[in-house]
Amino acid sequence: MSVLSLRLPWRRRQAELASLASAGRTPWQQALARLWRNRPAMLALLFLALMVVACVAGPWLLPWDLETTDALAANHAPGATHWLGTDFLGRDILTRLLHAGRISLAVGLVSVVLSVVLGYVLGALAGYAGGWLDGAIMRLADLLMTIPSLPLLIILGALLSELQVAPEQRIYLVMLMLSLLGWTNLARIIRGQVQSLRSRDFMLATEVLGLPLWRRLLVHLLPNTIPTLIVVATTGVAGAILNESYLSYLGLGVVPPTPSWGNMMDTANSFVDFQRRPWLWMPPGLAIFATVIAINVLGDGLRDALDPRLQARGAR
Amino acid sequence: MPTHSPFLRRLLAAAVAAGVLAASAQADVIAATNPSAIPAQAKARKDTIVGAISAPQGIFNPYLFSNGWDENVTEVIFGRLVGLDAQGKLRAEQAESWQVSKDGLQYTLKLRKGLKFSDGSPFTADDVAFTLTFLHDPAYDGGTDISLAKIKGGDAYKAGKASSVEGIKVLNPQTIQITVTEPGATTLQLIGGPVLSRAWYGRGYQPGKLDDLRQYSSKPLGAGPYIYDKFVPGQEVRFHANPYYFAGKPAVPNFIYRITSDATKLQLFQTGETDLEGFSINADNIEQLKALGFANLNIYNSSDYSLIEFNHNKPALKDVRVRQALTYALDRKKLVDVVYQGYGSVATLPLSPVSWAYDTKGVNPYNFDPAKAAALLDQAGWKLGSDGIREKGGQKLVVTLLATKSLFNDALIPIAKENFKRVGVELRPEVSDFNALLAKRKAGNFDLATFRTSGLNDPHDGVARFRSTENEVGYKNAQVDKLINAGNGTLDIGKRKAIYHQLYQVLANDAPLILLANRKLLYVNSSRIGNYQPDVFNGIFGSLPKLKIQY
Amino acid sequence: MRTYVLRRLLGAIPLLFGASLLIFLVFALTPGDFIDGNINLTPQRAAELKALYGLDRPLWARYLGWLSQLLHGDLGFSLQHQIPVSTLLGQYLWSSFLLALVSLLLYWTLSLAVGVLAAVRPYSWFDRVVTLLVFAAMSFPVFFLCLLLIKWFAVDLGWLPVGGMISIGSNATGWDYALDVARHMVLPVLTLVMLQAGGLTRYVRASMLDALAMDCVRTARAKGLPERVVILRHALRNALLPLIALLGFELPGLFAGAIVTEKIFNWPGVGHIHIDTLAARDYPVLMSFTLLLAVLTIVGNLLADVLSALADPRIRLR
Repeated sequence: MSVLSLRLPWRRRQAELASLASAGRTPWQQALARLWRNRPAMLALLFLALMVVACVAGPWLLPWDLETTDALAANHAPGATHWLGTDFLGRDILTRLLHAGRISLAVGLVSVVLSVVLGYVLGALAGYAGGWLDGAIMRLADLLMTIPSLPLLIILGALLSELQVAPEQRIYLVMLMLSLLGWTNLARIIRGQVQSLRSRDFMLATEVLGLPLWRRLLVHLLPNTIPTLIVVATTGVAGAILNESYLSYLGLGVVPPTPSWGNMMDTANSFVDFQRRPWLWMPPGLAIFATVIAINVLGDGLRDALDPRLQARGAR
Repeated sequence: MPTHSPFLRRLLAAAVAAGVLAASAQADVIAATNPSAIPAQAKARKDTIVGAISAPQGIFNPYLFSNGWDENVTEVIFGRLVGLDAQGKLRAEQAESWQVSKDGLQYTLKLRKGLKFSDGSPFTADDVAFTLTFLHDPAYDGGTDISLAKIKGGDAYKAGKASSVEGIKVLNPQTIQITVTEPGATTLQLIGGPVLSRAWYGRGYQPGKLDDLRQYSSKPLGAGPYIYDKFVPGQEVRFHANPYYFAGKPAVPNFIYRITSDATKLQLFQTGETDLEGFSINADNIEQLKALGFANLNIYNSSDYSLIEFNHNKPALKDVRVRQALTYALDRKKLVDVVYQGYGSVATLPLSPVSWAYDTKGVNPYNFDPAKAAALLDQAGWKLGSDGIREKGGQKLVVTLLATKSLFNDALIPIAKENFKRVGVELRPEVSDFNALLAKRKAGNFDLATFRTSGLNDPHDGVARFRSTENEVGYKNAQVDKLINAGNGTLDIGKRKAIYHQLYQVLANDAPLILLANRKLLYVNSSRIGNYQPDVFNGIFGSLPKLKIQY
Repeated sequence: MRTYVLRRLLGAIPLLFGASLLIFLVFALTPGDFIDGNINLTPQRAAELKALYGLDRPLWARYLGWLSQLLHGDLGFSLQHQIPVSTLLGQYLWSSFLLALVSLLLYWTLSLAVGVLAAVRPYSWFDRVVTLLVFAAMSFPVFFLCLLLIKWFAVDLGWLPVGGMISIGSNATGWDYALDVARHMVLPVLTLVMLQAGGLTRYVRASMLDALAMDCVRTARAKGLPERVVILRHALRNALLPLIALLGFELPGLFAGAIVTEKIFNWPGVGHIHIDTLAARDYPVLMSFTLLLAVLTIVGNLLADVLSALADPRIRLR
């Protein structure tokens, strides 16, 4: 034990010892209880849930058909008939916005959850275990980082269309592949953090107590890396939703006429649209903004719930 | 943000090359209302005109460039022996005159007197012979396919069996004679192109080795209106006036091609950084440009057309009734209205409306008619299934459509999907980048593919794709082959017009593809520039030598 | 330490071979080639050209050919530009580097300052406003951001040029040239800073929050050191450690080019060359450029590992 540990504040040491002692059951339950009491986080969760419900049920409740075009109703401003206006083919923006949410929310969440899980597990393992495992994981990460993703995506697009995979499902396979490639940056960041956390007292204590590796990684290291994970998750969700539209250039995103938030913003692609027809791009833009904010607030709540010592300071 | 495919770039190049057609009957000019609004930055440029270009790469050799933007640069530097006028008819440029033998197998070109390259060296028939022989070099890897001219002895030279091309003869320094084995309407354009100086390009050139010649791609020497100064990669190409130009030294001392992009070309024009610019045509752009006050808007028909190709190797699409039905089923008028907002038309012929061969009389226009489409599909044995999709022999009528991501296709795909569904056909769009689309098309793994042709100079260019020897998607029709060959076999415009008119009727009935749209182009010049009168076939090059700065 | 670096450098050799093979395979398997993209060629002419470019050779022969070229220090010859790849990259790489470097310095400075301030007073109005701004910037398309900047500063105010790297027809040299380039750089740099600063600010804030809760910071406070010293000397030092990995990623980024920003501002960078050559399937350029980035990635990660170990004695290199 280092000299520093002698100066460990009493309250924190108690908290850590308590959590070490009752590592099996209580910390997660306690965390859940703390999360439940966190009002902003609960509001954010409620918002996300409402958004999901609206996206799933909304298109059925609205009178407009997703794919019917009407040249006479093109580019109408929001009004009584079309609450959020119409696009250049006369399709109802609100209907498309909600329908697009199904894909964009799924895409954003799936890709982020996958790469966060992979990035954390591999990064923490490499940083904590060190040695040959660290070398192997990091060299694999180096190698994956060198693969150019654009051409790889073009190949994947060709392959999926060759295999006759339905266009609606392709986007998920693409997200899966992007996550398989995209965990590397997060893994390196997490590894760096874990390398320095590893030698802190509370981690040394877990070793002394002989806790199994998975418990050390998931129960004791994880809460300390949550702030980083939140940053990655929030930036990742926004990025994935926006990038989806870019993928459709390569035949990998959703195929028109199916809408997504990304490709809805993309069709407003001139300065004239930007200035004079804000109803084309503002609804999807605001939807992405609200989603990201909600995830961030929820993430902050989660962090506070998992790590009481940060909450104590935050409240001070 | 993905950029244009090379194909698209080539198309756009054709578009910029098209310039503005103030003199033509089809052109529509909206004149500047307030020339005093010309930005100060432009006014300050007393001796220089700035044109716009998208992505030149620096291969300034008219036979070696790989993108259409470099071609635009070479047009300024080199000029041509034989050009086209505003209606697409041949026009004498560096060649003063030409004669074609009765059988169409011998071409005699006479050069203008005292012709010189821009360094003052003489420009003779020998340089023309050098250029045409170089194009037969087995190592030649450029985009010009000289074999289409069928010059006598060309194949033998290419195969290394002869030391010169038999059909190329220099009669005297001012005259060259070309003998071909097959007549061709486009041959004169092919042999009457830009000329490379033997003294400049031939210095270290050995047949079979292009490396030495290639190095002059960055030091071009031609006989066009302007002389190349400098290429600043990613920024601009600079030129100055050629005192030896055959029609006299251009009045404006300097010309610059500035690189612009779609996103900001309006802002560049607005702030006076560019004097000449091309825009995609729609009501928004026209309104904004009109509001500037100092812009002359020139609107005219483009020479290309957009299409949906059928894969004729697919059993369902072999049936002419299915092809006709899909053509009737598509509301092309709606597509054109949405995309071009009044500045395009539904294509009826594989040809631009500006061409001398354009005549729709007796050609089925396939006006939007879902009922007729349904009837044709019924006749063909495709019956409506319980799910609203037609089927025949247990097979559903589901068609894939290969497309790139573009504004045009953003409208085409939803409209086609909706229209086809209405007559019981399911459309499955497949979006990819253009290169992948073509690879897939080549592999034959598709039902429908959509794209736009390059700019078409001659009516033959618009129909060559239907000839069974050149068709890549399994289309064969002996009568069509015969008519195409006949149309290309004579130079007599009257005869050709009659042949093409017959061909267009046959093609319409056979529906080998769905013709989509003829678009218009929008070219704009600052009102400080006078005499700006290029046309769709010559491009900016047509009026460049005559331009003047008025304000 | 020296043996560690040596071992990592030696280990990079097989890694590079692996990367070169992967890169080659990825490009070779991409549908379409340089010739396929030209619709004006007759099938006969297309076949002739494929033979001339060697695109009809078997994969292994093409890979070995490329590899032996590389080992001789030759990056190949661009099909599309018809000049050596090294010359081509030389024309565009440095302008991308200039843009990226200036932006990098600015957004790291900005993110560090803002991130630290936000972390010192978490959940204060400053922190909340910064958070909102960061996420708004993230949800706002780059395309519109660029256009908005151009509208305000170039069109309406007329202070700055719309695009490009030098003024039209300019033959300026020396200081005049530097000034001209600087004027043209302002808007693209501003765009890149706004794009990049958001995420980094969040990282700095998270890292700083964590550092502020560390024992050594509490100790420093307990010793009665001024808050400024506590934050800048003790907390920031610890907060910077995890950010070193991020800095390592920036090395390839300096040369990769900013695709959208360069395109909209007509900056003659390598970003649009990358996209254009991919669209044209100009493999020699694509493969060499990607391999260059691969080398930089590996070096960047190695540097990050070494820097972390130097800065943090708790990390042992083995």
